[in-house]
Amino acid sequence: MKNKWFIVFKKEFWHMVKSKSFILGTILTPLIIILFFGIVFITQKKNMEKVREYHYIDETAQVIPLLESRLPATMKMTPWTGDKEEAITALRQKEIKNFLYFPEDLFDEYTFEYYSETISDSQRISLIENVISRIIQIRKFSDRGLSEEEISSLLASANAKTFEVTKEEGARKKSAEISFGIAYLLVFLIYMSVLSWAPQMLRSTIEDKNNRVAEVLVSHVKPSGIMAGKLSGTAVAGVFQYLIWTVMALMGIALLKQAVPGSQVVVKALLGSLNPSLFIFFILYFLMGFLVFALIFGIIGAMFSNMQDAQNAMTPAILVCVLPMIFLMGVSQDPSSSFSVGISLVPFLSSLMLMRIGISEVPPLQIGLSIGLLLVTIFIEIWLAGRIYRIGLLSYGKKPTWKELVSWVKNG
Amino acid sequence: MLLQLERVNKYYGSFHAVKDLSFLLEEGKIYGILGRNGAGKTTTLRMIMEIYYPEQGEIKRFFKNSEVSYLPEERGLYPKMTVAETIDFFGQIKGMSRKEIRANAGEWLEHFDLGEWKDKKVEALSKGMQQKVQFIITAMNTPRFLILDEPFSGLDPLNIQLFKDEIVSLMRRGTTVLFSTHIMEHAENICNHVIIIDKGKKVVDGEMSRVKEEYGKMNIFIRYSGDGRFLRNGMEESVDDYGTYAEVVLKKREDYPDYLRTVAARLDLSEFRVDLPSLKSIFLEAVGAKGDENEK
Repeated sequence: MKNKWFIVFKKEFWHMVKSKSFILGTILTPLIIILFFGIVFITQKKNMEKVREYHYIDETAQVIPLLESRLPATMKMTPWTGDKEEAITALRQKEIKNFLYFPEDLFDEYTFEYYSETISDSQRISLIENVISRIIQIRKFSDRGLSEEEISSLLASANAKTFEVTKEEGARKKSAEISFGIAYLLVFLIYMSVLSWAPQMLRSTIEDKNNRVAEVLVSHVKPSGIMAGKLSGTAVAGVFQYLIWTVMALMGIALLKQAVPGSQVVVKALLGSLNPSLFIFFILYFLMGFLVFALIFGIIGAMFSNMQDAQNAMTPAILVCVLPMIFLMGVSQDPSSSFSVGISLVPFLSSLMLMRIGISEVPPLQIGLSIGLLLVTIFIEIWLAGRIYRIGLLSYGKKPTWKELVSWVKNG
Repeated sequence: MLLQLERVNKYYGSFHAVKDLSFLLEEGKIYGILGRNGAGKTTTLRMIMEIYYPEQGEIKRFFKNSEVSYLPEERGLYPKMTVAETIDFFGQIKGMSRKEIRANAGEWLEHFDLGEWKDKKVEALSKGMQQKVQFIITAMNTPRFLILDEPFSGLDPLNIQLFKDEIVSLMRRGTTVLFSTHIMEHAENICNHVIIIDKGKKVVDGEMSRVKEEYGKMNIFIRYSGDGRFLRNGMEESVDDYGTYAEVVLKKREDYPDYLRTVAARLDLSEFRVDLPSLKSIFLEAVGAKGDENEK
């Protein structure tokens, strides 16, 4: 005969997976993300591809040829035949859109004037500024008799190569941005999952109370079995949604590879910097983080008979859920500080430990302590939930007082 | 023996809900646990089901968990599940295999006139239909022990009869039934054994026939012609005189031959019938709450 918790698990899983909110959420979430990033990408691309005409007066008679050769073809330079005032009038009357004025003393004062109907196109303005600065620098070095090679060598830019130093591997070349990006993404995934799936435990428990099925369930399945079924059903439904999204993402990457030839390099670089042990820790912290919060929400659900009453009790739990995101930047800037170590050991903020694992080398003792504390917390919660569940599930209608709660725990 | 309660006590805070309750259940009978609202019936059933535990006393269960089925007073179903899914889920929860569920479900649904509704969602069913579904999921595994908390509440007379017939039919197939009710008429004609509890304490416990003989007053029905004043002669406790017939309750059971001789000498009797007391009158006598508002 099957375990009773498995029957509850199956019911919870199918109930969630077949719900309209799950189907819509699974389809709409990636669509909204694609749509959002797609719109941003297309808008930026179109903006960059758009040819803009810049009228100019070059009092130095030297800048324009150098400027034109260093600017992209989308920035077209057109000489203005009138004087500066006429150009500004023409701009005001919308006959022209941009006007650049390079004064005679440009090489001494490092200043030129830029007039436009809009000055929000910061990318292009800073590009012109950089090119003009470089032209002035080259001119100054040239005036001092330096050769072209000497000038290029003097003006060469520096690039930082980032290394993560670990005990095992010595200095290992690694992109700091990618490490941080991946760790941040994983912590964010845990945060989003806990926030969207753990409260399902509360909804499901209150639903059992509202539908008055709790008593039949409790009379045939132990409260711990009901809880195990609900927890696993909810968690697997969440994982199932991620699986669907992963398949969608892989299909998207395959399509991207075909459609955009250059993207292969980016995908390879991204996959190359993935650390398998980080993913094992991700799964571990994902499951334990989910359990820690789902059990709390399950207990809240067993305590109250309706969502309105439960909402008030949920608020502090949700605030604790959000805390890791608040401390994330602080911890990522100095992952080895005693503050970061201390805070990442708190079971309710354990995703911060994952962040530390992702961007630094965390001593195994700290990881062990963090996992141990999480397990102890989960066991205490299961014990508490089991006792509150038995009585809480059968108390309808009124909010329990603290005194009653204590007696539930004592007598459950 | 199927179940034995020995001096069971249950408290809710300072409220003593069940007091020194003892009784035992034999196999193959229908037991009615009777009492007014708040008497401790539901708490007793929940303790038998191990939903609650007694603070004192012992409950000896001579059955396995898979052999008992329970219909709680607070009845409920998942509104979004279809009738078939509901039967499948609760059948499995009660330990039935899917094969057994499939083999039994059709027959039960047809018997309760729900055959055409099996693929409909529970929320689309009327309240009466939902109660039938709840009864089916409780009884469909023909359990060794069936516990029903207020099984007839909210049912129309036709469905009350349908449920009563089914309870008797289950008993004939070997199921021991223990049901609670606060409406005495519901227990009157199907119980083999009654346990009456009041304020958490047992006040009556016995075979229905024996209880009827032991408890209650002698009820006499008389159809007569003549002067109704002769119905009163000092032996009676109460007389409800309707002119051509009367209902008389005697103070002492053994007085009825003398009473018959006395009234027959003065009145022209066309009918004289000695009735056993109703369960309701036994209940009222036992709990000493005649005219209690809660009693219906």
